[in-house]
Amino acid sequence: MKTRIKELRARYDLTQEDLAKKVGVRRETILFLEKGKYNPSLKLAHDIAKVLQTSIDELFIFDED
Amino acid sequence: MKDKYGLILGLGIAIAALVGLLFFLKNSGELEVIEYIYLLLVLLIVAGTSIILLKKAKDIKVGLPVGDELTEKTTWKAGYYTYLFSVWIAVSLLWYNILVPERFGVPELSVEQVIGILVLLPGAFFIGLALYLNKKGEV
Repeated sequence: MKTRIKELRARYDLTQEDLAKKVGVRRETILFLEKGKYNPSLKLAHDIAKVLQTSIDELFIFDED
Repeated sequence: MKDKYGLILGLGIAIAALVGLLFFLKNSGELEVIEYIYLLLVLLIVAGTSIILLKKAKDIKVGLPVGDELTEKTTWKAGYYTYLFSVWIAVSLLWYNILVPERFGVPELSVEQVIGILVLLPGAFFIGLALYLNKKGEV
């Protein structure tokens, strides 16, 4: 799974720490999400999408393979 | 606030373990090999716990939570593998006492030694695995 978190975070001038604080997770969790090393819960995906003013569909790109 | 109390409690336990260790070393005479292994395991547990606590203290300082859904997941995973590890250790110790002393002429492990190994080894394994999983992400 790929994500556009890094790209959208940069658009809103947010650091990983800022985003982590806004959604109530550790900074490492944002790092792992950006690297595609962690599949978040639906709630966390929703919270991040809300902060980055986008939809879950646009934020996470699922690889069919 | 709950996180801070947890942190203070953890630090207290780590310090108490170190002080206990110092008293043990001061009062013990010649140490056996198994006791050196215990000391090493206790030091590993204290060092690992200190690393985790320092990381948590840093997170609290900048206003980040000390745990989230990923830490919960990795901690459960570490606990599950530690349980399996403990079972294997228990079985291995049993087989050690059945096979090794008779064939190689070494002394059997006493109940106290087996309990010490069964408590300390999985403890060190859990701390190490939790640190590894928290560094690697969902693996």
